[in-house]
Amino acid sequence: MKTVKKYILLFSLAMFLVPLQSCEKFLEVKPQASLSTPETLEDLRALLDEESFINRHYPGLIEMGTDDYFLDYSVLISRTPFDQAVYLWESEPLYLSTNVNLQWRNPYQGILYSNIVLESLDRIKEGTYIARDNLKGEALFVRGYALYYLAQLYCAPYDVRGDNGGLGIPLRLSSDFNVKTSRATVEETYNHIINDLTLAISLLPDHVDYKTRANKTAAYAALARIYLAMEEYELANNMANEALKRYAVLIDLNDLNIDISYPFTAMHDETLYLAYSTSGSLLLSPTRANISDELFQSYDDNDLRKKAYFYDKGNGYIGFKGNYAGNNSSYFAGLATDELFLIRAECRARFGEVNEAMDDLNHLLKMRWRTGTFTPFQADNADAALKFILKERRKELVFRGVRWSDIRRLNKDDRFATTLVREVNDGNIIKTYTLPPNDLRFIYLIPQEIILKTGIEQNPRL
Amino acid sequence: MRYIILVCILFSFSISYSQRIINGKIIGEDGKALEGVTIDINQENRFVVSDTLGRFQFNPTHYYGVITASHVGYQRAMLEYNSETSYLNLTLIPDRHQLEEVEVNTGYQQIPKERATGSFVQIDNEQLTRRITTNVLERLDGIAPGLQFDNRSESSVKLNIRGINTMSDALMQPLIVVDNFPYEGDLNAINPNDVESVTLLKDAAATSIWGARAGNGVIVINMKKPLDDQGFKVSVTVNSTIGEKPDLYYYQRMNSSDFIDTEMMLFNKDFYNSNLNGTNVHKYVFSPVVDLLHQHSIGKLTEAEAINEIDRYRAIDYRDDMQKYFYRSSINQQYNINLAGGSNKTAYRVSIGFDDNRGDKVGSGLKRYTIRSSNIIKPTDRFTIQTTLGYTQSENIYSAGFQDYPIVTGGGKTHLYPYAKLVNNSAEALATPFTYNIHYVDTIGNGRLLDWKFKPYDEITNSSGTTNAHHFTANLNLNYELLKGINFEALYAFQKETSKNQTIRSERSFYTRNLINQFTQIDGESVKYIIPVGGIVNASNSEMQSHKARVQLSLDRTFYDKHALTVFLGSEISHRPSSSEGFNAYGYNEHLLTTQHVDYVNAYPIYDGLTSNSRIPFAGGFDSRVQRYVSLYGNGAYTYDKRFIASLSARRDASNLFGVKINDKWNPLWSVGLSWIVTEESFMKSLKWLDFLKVRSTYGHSGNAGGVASTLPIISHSATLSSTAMTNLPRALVSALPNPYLKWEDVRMVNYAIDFSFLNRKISGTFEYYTKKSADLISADALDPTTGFNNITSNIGMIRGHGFDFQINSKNIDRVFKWNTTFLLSKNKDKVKKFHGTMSSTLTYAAYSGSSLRPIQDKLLYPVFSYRSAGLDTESGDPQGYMQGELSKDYSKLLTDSLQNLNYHGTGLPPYYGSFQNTFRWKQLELMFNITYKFGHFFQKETINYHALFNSWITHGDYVTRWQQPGDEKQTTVPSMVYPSNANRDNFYAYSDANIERGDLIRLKDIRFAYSFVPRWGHKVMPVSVYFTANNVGRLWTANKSGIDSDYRALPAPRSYSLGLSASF
Repeated sequence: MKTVKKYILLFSLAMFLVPLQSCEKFLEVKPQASLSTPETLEDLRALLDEESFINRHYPGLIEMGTDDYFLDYSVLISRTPFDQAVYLWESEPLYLSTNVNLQWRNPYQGILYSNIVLESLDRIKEGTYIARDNLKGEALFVRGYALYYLAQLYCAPYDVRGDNGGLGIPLRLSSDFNVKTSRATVEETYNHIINDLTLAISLLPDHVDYKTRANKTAAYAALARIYLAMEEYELANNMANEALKRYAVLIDLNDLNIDISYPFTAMHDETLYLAYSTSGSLLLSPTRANISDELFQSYDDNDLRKKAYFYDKGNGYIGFKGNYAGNNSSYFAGLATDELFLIRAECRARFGEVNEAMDDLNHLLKMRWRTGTFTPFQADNADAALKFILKERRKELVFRGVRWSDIRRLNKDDRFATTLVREVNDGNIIKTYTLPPNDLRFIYLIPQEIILKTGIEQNPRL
Repeated sequence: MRYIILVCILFSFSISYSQRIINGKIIGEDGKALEGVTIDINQENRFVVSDTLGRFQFNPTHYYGVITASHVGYQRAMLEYNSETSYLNLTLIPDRHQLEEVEVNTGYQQIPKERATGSFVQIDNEQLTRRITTNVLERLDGIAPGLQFDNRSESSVKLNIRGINTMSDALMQPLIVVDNFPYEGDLNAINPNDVESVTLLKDAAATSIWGARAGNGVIVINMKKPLDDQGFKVSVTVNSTIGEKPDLYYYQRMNSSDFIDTEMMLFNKDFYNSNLNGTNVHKYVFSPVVDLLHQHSIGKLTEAEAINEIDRYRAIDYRDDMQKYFYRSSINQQYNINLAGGSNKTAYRVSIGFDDNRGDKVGSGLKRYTIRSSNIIKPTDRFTIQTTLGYTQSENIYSAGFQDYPIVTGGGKTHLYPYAKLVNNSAEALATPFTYNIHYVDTIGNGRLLDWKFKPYDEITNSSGTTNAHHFTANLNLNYELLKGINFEALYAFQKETSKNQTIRSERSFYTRNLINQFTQIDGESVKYIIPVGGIVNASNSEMQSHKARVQLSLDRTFYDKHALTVFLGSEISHRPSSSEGFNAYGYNEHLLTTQHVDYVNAYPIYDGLTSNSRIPFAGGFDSRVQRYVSLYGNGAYTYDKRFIASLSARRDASNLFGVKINDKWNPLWSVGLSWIVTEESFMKSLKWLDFLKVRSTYGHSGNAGGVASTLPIISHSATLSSTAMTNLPRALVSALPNPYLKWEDVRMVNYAIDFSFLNRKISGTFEYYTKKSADLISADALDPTTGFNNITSNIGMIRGHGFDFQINSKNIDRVFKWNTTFLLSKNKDKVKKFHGTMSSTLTYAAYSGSSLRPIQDKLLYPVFSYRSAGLDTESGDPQGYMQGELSKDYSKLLTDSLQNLNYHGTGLPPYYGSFQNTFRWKQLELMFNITYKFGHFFQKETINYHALFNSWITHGDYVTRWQQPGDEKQTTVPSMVYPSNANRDNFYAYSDANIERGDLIRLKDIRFAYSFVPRWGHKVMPVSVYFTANNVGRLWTANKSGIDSDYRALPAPRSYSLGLSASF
């Protein structure tokens, strides 16, 4: 009996020690199967394929302030205070947290994913150089492109002739949330965007299987758009050329069933990179936004876009249906070949190459007009060509995320500067709201919450 | 003559028995005689009292009968006698409830409460059975000092012990221990009839043994155990509870006539024009009134016709239909049978329970079957084996298409207009607008589509849901006495819970018809169904297992008479894998159980372009999780001369939550305690009136494990396609940013207490005061959105709290008529002392006033803020506020004003709460009632929001009292209705101090009336108790005058009545 007790005592002591010895292994099990830290290139691939944060997060502000649309009074007053304020170009719209998320955080979310991919690539050693380069290029592209959108909203346009030392946007280049947010200058902002995208070109593949991923052509196209916004026409022209060398397919609207509700499908042949916005703003949904009469009337009846882009709402208003991202979104924020032709045409016109410029434009318009009705347009001089091209640019790129930048850029040129006007008719009186060229309101306020949390400087107001 | 003889014989019989005398003696457990015990003979109101030697005698009037002995501090005892009986021996067992010698179970050991230093509350069986519920925890509401039930969140009841020690909702629940181990799985699997008692562990000395999961206190549920040396015993409990139908008129809403007037006003202002005339008119819902006005405006109806029709609607409120056809009284029936018996070597207990509940929503119900068997075997004097097997099966049914009030319509609106008719006079369901314009769905598809109408009443029966759960437990406890006072224990507990959830939406349901129609392609005469016609099934299965094992070595010895030592050391390991999977299926045929294939991959156009191209919804996938803990613990108590007690407890835990290094996973927690039983001192013996006095104090730490500390970002993979995603690629999202410095929460508590009892235990009680400091609190800390991420889990704060728990029991009258009172009062205030987290916007604090934790430096948790209101503008009825001391109507500025400029009222969580329980006994009758109260908190009442009224049909009864003409501002704070509405103006008023009310209230929680009697069956007696209880009886007093029950955000818990019977033989 004594020995039995001894054994039991020993056994119980052993039982105490066992968990100590083996618990290290025991506790290494992952708490949830679907959770992991990024350890493989496959993980990074999956992060960059998270459409809702990479391709779908574009802010609505870029289309909410343009003159392409207007709202009926009853629609306007049923909208949120923020949407109303933005629509009426109020100086200081109040951002609620949803607005902060949609207009500010979402693009930075894409930037965060890019930063995580870039940082993980430094750590993960597996994979071929090509696979690693492609992922790196894609992450750089996503970051640069998102920063570009933010720069169109929250800082002054790049001034090719002047000083760009003013307030730019915060450049978040690390996933470390402890890094304090601060604003770069406009110069630094654009330098960084161009660096990201230029480096991306060298790393990206020529072809991708899905247009939700960027290839070399997409990166060239992005740079073409960005240089154009910076008024670096030479560079814009080069980039457009490079892109078009690789891919120049245009859709002939004559081949498209333009009578249906949504004539364009997502990732159609003109698409170079698919980006869009699903919840950027409820103002922009076709049921609410009415197309400006001036814009609608500028299309010739033989111009198929008049039918492909627009529909009669039945209440005297025109709605938009020509969304390049298919029908799932409020606007198309990606890149397509038609824009490249317009960029090159504009640059060529600015260089005085009138014929080449008009060739590019006519090449595009031929695909837009009803077969047999199109006669190539001529321009007498570079100035006329430019004016014509810019007009066509607006007509082609409706709800494509470029109109706001174009207004900001062209306002600096007296020939094209315009004062935007909104009329609000409550049934009794008509109130008029205006946004004159180069107004401070062309730079949106940074959400007040961000100013409070980070202490960064707010954009100036009168 | 014969009759006379018979009468004579009977008479002589009774005389002979009346002359007979039965003697007896009453002793206590220690064998000593008990004096002054009241003995009730045959419950006939004849009493005798035992003498100094415990002796008593009586002459029985009947052939056989039963005597009942009752004595202060002892359980009542009954003994039967028959014609042969001449002597009765009775042993009284001390009453655990009334005597201090209560044993508390910490989950690790049974200790006499007298010898504890920590703060324990024991809820005995009598208290647990006074209220009839399906879930055992609900029975604790209002009877345990320091335990508060927070019913303010609509989805779940939150329990807190001594307030809140954390800043995140996920870490707020107390640890629940059943059968010595933390309980995993659904608490509804426990049959309350199997619960013997509940122990609450409140301070650090009590909880630190549970380590890193005990920061919010511990609730130990002690299951009934077999008792040895007890003959075969059967007991039966049957009860039935009827709950009142929910009262939808509790909600303050606009009446239909006012709503219609508002609609007519809006129509005249062309509010509906753009929707009525647009091409998307089919995507908007319109009310019948707007429809009629529109018909009139386009000349299809005369004004008189329209007005006539409209006026018919004014008297309708669809709550009437819902109250009649959607809701009903709940009926819960509970049956339980208990078999127990044992000898000195073995003992067993088997209990079988059945619950049959009918919910208050039509179509809902629960059936639960429980069986539990436990055995104790003592092969030798030193070896005890205890086994338990338990199995619970429950089937929960509900209508998956049930529409709660208010009905949500979609189609541009939120709530259904109030004057809807849901059911016609012949009890047939009527259609209401839902998602689409009702005229559109009338005509669309020329009959080639499925009916597209939405009938809320039919939806109840068109979809069904079931959850079948099986819960299995097995426990094995071995105890071997190695040497005298030294025990080795090994425990193993296994739990397995599987649950199967299935929702079947038949092809008659709107959900199914809508989805099929959306995907239907009509080309001329041909109709192509992309989604096959038939039901849609969603199913999911989940499984949880839990293995827990413990070895423990304990010593319990007294040395040299005066030095008593209790020590135990142990280690514990737990492994809890869980998994779930789900799928859905289309074209389901409920009779043949066949389904049809669908294409989940490609996006299809939606009928008439109602929405964008979409994929067929797919729900399902797999998930698997593992939770592991390893712990080491030790506990010791030393008692000197039964007077001084010192205790020490320590524990370390480690878990497999993402951590950096193993060292950081270990979290040491400890506590110390001292107590002094003053009445054991010789100098106190002279104070005859003082029975018991003990002072005690403890200090220690417990913790809350939570959060994931990782140096790398954590990503979450997903393979489920979203219905609108453009590609079909595997994707992963970032679920947490790197966060290597995260620590577990630490809760430090100091407790001072005094236990007392005097005047021969007529008055007894406990007063405890505590302070606590919860540091390194983990919370989802809002990040600067520029980081691209909304929040990060981090140690962002510290809370200091203090409070007291006061309990006093008194026996006001203790004779044939007995009156006992228990008074409970607790105070708890938790103030945030440090908060590095990022602040939300001012509007957020004002909008969620008091309803969420929202920590802010130097404020209590659940802070209540409001905008400073400056009354209504006398000219316009506009609400006014203050901006830099000036009157202001710049609402967008007012809403974003600095939080400092708002009123801070206090907290939304009651800082004072308690109950007042009274029990009256007279012979076999017993009456109990419990009054509960909560004081010192605030709440924000709802009010009218004109923007929501116009655009979303969300109404509120405050509309009636709105400002309408100058002078009204003297009677009302409700602003005038303006057109167009201004959401900022509405919000400013809604979140201003005009809508903050005091939450104080007193409630009659329950009443219980019981009658006990002992019928005789031959030679057997069978004590029977019949009882009636009323629960949630009503509010006795509220500080607010609006008739709002501040304990609830939505409907208050309905009143319920139970009738029950328990018997044993």
